[in-house]
Amino acid sequence: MMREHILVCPFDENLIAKFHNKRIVVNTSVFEEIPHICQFVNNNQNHLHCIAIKQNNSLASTPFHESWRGIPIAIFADQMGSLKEILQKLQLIRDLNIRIFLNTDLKENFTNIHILASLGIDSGVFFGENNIDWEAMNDLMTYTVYSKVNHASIEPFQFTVNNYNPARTTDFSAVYFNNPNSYLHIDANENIAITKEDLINGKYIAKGIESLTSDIFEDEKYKEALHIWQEFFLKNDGCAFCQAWRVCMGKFSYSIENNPGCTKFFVDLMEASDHFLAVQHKNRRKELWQP
Amino acid sequence: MATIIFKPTEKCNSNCIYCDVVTRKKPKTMSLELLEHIFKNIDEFLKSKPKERIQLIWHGGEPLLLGEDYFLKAIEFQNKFCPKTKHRIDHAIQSNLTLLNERYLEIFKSMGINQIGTSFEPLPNMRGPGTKRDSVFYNSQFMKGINLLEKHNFGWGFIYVVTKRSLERPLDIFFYLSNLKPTGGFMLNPVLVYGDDKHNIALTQEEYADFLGAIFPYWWKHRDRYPHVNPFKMFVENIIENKRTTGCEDTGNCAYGHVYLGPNGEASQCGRAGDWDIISYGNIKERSLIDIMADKQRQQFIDRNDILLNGECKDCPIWDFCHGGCPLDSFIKNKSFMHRTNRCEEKKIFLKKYFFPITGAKNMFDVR
Repeated sequence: MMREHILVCPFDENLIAKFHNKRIVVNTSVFEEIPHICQFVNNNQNHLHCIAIKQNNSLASTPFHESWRGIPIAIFADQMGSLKEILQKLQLIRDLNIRIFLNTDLKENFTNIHILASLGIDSGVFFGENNIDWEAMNDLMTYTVYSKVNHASIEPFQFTVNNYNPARTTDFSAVYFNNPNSYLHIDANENIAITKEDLINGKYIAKGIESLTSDIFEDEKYKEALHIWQEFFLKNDGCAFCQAWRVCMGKFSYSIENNPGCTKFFVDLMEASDHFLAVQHKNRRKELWQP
Repeated sequence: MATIIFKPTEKCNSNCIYCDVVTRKKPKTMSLELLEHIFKNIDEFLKSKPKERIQLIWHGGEPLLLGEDYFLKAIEFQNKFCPKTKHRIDHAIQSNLTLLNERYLEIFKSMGINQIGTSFEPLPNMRGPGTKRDSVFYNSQFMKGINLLEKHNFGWGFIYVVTKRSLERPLDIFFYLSNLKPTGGFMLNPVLVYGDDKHNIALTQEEYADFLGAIFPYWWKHRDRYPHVNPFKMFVENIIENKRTTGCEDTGNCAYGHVYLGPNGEASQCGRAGDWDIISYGNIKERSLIDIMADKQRQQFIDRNDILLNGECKDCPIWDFCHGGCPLDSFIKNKSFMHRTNRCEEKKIFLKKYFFPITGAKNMFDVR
């Protein structure tokens, strides 16, 4: 049976009301709408995969609420704000089904994510517009994978090590709902794109929710988009010759000239993934027969 | 299993720098009458050997230039002339994939083919159509081909031909190839030049060994990531795991197992021998496949094993997985098959200089 895509869309009741039996990621920036979004999506015979919410203020100013319990939420915040305020809500945040992403543009966010994870809050980086501090990324990744003290997960490192197969590619885009093998993006006008960026830039592969059948897998534009990585090989781009391709797949080719640390980082991520795999293998418990 | 390297066409849509078939020969294509005749011969051969199978490897030139209908005719002839033996005929194909389409894949499935061998070159203007070898166009068609293969769950593996131009960037090339096919499934073969090296691409044995040696430390450390890269995997299997896996050139038993059939029905020992007109077993229009397979000239390849084992290869520790290498390599240098390969040293250099020191495996050259 052909798999179905998870749809990423804005919270638009008219749009969502047209979906049937779909898994949905809803983009919003209105925290007060969270319980209503959950109720609305599920009442319409759909399944809420996640609410992705952009926090334009600090994370600390987020009105975390009891009514969010059980609702899958991803918060994307540019800055953390007061740690004291977060600590006051710590138990509630820990109890929620939530992952908090902070922007790589702000250098202190690497430390902030470290703190959040150490407090038991699942967290991650999301990539901003500025050059990425690859050394800071590496430190955070090292903490995620090698640290022996208890801490919550940090993305996209945890996804990578969990899904890593040394002899395959591992694409962490899914962490950001941006992997066209799993996600499609749709706007209120029912334009459909394979990534968030394509949707913003008007690069659509289809229009109308009636296009969201299994035929989409046969659509030439869709297939072309899935094979876009091959452009690196056709252009003989540096990323095609990089040993870390299998966990990066050219995501940072745009910045490699003025910020070339990505190779070192991703090579270390592969090493860490190998290490994680080896530890898992070593710790694999004997599976005893069961009566 | 008997293997027919079957070249129904010498035509090719690419002008690869390391292949001179297209320029040296006037490319021909096998007639349907001859194709029919060959299937009759295959049936006769298999009837005479009830426990034998035949693998028909479609080769070229570029076999997809034959067109889909040609392959349908082959299936028709097989059904018509081999009704009781067709279950002992296996098909395989080597293609550059640039002309692949859905219809071909349906036909190949019906022929029992589920994987295709190919070759690839990341360096520009080495492969491609025309005198300029338009590798951008060629590679984009190749990519479409592999996308089709993967969509239809066909396996594929490829050969990378190492040339003098590869020597500047061994690891880059390795990463490129393994990024293209992360599981591996490729071979790094040295370019074989017969006659003039007019493109200046030939390698010395040391250069090839050093090319492999530049990659091997990385491969060895991360071999879980690249499980199917040859010749590394083959060396590990033969030396460390004590398995015997070799390419055709090193088996030492190609004598009675292989035959080349060209577009005019000309028969030879294998594809290289046919391409280079080195040895002739006559023509299938005039001799049966049974006779060609039993040609007396083949005995020399059996005799060669004894001659080498008691002569040039005596006490060689890698004999068990080399057997003196390809007899054609010997012919290139000596105009005789009765010597070891002229590329004997490349294996030894690689093993001594890189393989044993890096793997820590017992140095076979020390113990004897």
